[in-house]
Amino acid sequence: MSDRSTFWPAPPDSITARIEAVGVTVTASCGDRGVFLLSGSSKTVAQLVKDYPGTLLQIAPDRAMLVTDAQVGLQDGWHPAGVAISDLSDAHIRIDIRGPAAAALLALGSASLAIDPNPRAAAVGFAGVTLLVEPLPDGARLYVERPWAPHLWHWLLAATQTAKDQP
Amino acid sequence: MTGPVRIAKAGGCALPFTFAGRSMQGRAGDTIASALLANGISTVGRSFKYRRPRGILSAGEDEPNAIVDVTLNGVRVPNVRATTQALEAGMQVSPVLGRGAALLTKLLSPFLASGFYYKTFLWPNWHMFEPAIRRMAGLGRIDPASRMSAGPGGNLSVDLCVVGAGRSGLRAAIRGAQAGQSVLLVERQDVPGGSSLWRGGDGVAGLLSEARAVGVTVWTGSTAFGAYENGRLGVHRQGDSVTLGGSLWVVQAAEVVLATGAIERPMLFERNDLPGVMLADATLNYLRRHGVLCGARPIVATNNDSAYPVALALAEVGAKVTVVDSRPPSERSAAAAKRGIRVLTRARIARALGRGRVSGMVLADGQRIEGDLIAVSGGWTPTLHLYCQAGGKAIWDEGKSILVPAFPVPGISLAGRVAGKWEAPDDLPWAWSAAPEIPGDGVSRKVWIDLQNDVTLGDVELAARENFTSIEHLKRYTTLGMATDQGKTANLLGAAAMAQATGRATTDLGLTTYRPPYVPVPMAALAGLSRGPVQSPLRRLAAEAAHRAMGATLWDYGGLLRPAFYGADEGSIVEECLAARQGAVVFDASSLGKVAVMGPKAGELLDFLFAGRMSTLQPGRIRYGLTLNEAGIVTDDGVVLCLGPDHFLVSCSSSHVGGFVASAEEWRQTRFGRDAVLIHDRTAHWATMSLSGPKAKAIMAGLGIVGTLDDDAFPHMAFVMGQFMGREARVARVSFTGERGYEISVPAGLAVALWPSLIEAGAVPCGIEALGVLRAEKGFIYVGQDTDGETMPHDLGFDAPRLKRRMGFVGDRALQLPVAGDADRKQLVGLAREGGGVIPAGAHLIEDGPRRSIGFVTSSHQSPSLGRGIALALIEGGRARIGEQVTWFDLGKTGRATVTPACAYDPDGSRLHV
Amino acid sequence: MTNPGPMICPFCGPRDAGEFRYGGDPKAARPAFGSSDAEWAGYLYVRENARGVAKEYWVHSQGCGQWLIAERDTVTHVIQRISEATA
Repeated sequence: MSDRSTFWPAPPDSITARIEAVGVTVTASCGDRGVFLLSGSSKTVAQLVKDYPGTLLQIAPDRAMLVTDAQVGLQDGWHPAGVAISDLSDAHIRIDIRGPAAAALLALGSASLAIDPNPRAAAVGFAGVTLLVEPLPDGARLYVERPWAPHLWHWLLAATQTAKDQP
Repeated sequence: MTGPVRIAKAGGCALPFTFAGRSMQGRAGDTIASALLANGISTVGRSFKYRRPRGILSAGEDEPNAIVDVTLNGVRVPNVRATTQALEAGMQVSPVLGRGAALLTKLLSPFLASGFYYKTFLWPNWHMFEPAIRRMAGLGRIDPASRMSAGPGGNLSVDLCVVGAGRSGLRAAIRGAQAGQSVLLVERQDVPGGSSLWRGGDGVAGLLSEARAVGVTVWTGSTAFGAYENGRLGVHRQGDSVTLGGSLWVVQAAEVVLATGAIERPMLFERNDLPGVMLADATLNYLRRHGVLCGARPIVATNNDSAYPVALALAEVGAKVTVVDSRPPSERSAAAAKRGIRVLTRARIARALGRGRVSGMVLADGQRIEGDLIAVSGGWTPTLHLYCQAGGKAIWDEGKSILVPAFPVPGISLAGRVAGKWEAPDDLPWAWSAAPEIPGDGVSRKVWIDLQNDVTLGDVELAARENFTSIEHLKRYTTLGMATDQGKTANLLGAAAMAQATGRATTDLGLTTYRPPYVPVPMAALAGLSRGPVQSPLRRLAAEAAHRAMGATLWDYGGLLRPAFYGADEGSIVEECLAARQGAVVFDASSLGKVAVMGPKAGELLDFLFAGRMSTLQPGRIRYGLTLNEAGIVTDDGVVLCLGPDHFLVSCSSSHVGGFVASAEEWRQTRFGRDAVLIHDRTAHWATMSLSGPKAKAIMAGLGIVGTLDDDAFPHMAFVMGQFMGREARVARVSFTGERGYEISVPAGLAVALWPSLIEAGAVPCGIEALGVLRAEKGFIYVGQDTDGETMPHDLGFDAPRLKRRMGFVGDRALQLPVAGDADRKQLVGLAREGGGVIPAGAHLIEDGPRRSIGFVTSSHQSPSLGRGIALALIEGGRARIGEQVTWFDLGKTGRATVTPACAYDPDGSRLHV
Repeated sequence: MTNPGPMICPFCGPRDAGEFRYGGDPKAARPAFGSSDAEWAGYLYVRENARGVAKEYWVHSQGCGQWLIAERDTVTHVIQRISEATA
């Protein structure tokens, strides 16, 4: 049996980490913008965030995540309009997978992305964890919860390294 | 003596290899099997049970005999099918079974009939005999030092997947692509063409280029091994070398066309397992694809027309061919005779002749025929495996003498031979299907049906006599069809033999269930990327780098990688424990749940989820609670913080966050409604450092995160908001150690800054191991370790939910069931070992007299603070036994211990306020 | 003729079946606190396990997290109808 104390590789630096493989570049980033989880009727949520520029990732019928560079006056808790709010600005590591081979790598991680590379809702199972997918023109941005990010990174390293040797 | 020989002078470049230590030459394009035949090898190993010499039977994935071990470049690959594996230069090929083990089993062989193992190795038990039997059995050896690599594989979604790139498959693929479908064509062989590669037939090259032109994706060297529900296929793509495991692909196809062809069946006669008995179609394959003539004087034995083109081809290259046809003369037999082939009709083969390999045969009428090869064709079994795996059923059609699909499976259609269609090669009548012929009474039963598992006609008849007459019992009792070839050549013959032995029709007997995989798939390919640390993902702490920098040893705790202890070895656990009681320690508690429950019905939902009321909690206060399942069993414990009237935060234990959220969402969505209460898991956003010990307050004051630390304004089980590095922080007074405690939560990005600031302020880093000791001293439970699948709240001392008959929470009614009131329920207590020392964790407590377990030790440690061993245990009626002595038992060792209350340290809780 | 294809979440669309988790029998209504021991035991442990079309809870656990009610043929695995579960 492997020595369990040295078995697990150290996590990558979540800001400088980078993978360059044939046809695909993977980069990580975190913590430099506001991320808010909002639940309630989708109309009310849309009304609440309409003044904030950024990306709204729809996760469930009553749940969306706002990613924004703007200063946002959203407080954790129950908003009287009927919306639950959580500041999750530090909850995720963003991993960008871009390049001509990005689609194949994304389909390898998720059978659902093989079925539909532009899913109607952002949450998908990927490499054994649940994460959020924001499609990009040349790939996708993954929002993975911080505790799972090292696993996802090591998975991406393995996937991009072994792909050359085998069909 | 003659035998197989390479007759084609031209061919691919030479590839040297060895077989059983002998140097040989093969050619590029060879399989291991064709290279062995080209070198005149007819015996490739010995059989599984009786150690009989066995030769190559087939030229495909149906091969039962030619299973070999291959070593290449230092990597040893066991159980390689020689008929489908391409030859590579430098391969060291060895038979899975050599001669060595033969003698013992030869002596035993009269006893090795069906059910032999079940009947013989009963006493004292099978496990005593198993290792020796396994060593004798004909299985390849795994070399633990050899690690096969494999590719990541992938997921693919297509409109149409065609399995088999013979002519029918190519046509189906072209039709699909022309109709606008995205098409994947999967072919097991290295080149497309299917059986036309050796059977001939026009237009394959044209069809292939047409397929490519219309956009069909063609995967060769790829086997669709499994069909699963809703159009999912498992496809294994071979690697470029035997040492590469290839890769596994999951193909989601809206439509599947199976053009998988058919597998030729052997014929049943005495000594039909002799090397030199081959499938007729295989001899044609070796001739046409590899230039190997399998015998100079072949006897082609058949009961159908498909062997005639084989006989003609063999004669064409100069072989002296005799055809033995069990049927009356026909136009086809006459045509063969006209070409100078000796044809015997209405002739049935009774026995193969030869020592170690075929030298001829004896017909049923006693006539002897000389020959060095018996090429047999006993009919064809359509390869319906994938159709059956997808939910179909194959039945024997007595009228057509062929296996047919019983009903359609949505999304799967059949093309070509698998559908019972085989275009005639010429203008003559073409009867290629035939029923199995089972030898009648009066001849030897040493007729092999399953060659790989050594099952004979006699074995099948013994099973019938012993009333194992259903097809499923036949399989399990005789192991027919259970070898790695999955009985591809044997199953139908076995069913027909059982049908005859019991006077039934083969149709009525049916066939056993077809299950994936169609061919063995390397474990390395199945694993894909799931190896090493990627295999079972762990959650990590945001401050992991800081812990590593302090010399933490990191272990896996319930799916989380956490510091076990800091310092050189486990000796530092003692220092960490003492620091907590005398100074102050800090441990990383970031993985504790932080699940927000919000909305007008938030309190109502929490009252339902916890076995104690939470809605009455005032803002700024914290309450401990247990969660149960509907059977009343404790599933977790945790604390709830009230952040505001409609806003609570549940801090469940680290490994139960996912479970708590799932259960809370289930009740919310199916009982409380989606609008009035909402749940957000904020765990990943917050990092939490837990500071505790008598010096905790002083350290806290130095950090300046919160304004007041006055115990009246900020008592135990309360929290306040503060600031750390300009961002919001939350400090809660809770305790996992029994000492004064402050739990500091900051945004996860600040974890790497908060940790060193606590260390600099004088807190000693504390790992999970020390924490486990500290909480056990206090009798604080870990749900799942100190509880089991029967533990209810009152077993832990929380009597209120049951006694007050509170209702309206998960598991409420179960606490009123009679079983909940049993006097001998296992209850949590402490133990003190007689004479000090530590009782082994997991030890059973036993009753004197008739020895019976009355419980077990759930946690056990040496307590540095108390200077003695402490333990927690679940014991029947435990609380009533406090003060009594019990006997513990662990792996043969016993001792005495006194039952104590669970809390061994500071029972009145005064340390919380020091 | 095509097969039923991947599972379809009413919100997320077609998804790999591995993203969904079976959630039990929605017909088992929670008995009142005053119910008999036998009723409670039945609620806990007795299931119909129908051969043929069965109403089942499924949850899109690796996706939107919504609880769904599926009408699934337990013989062919074909899901004939799937919709959001309601309180």
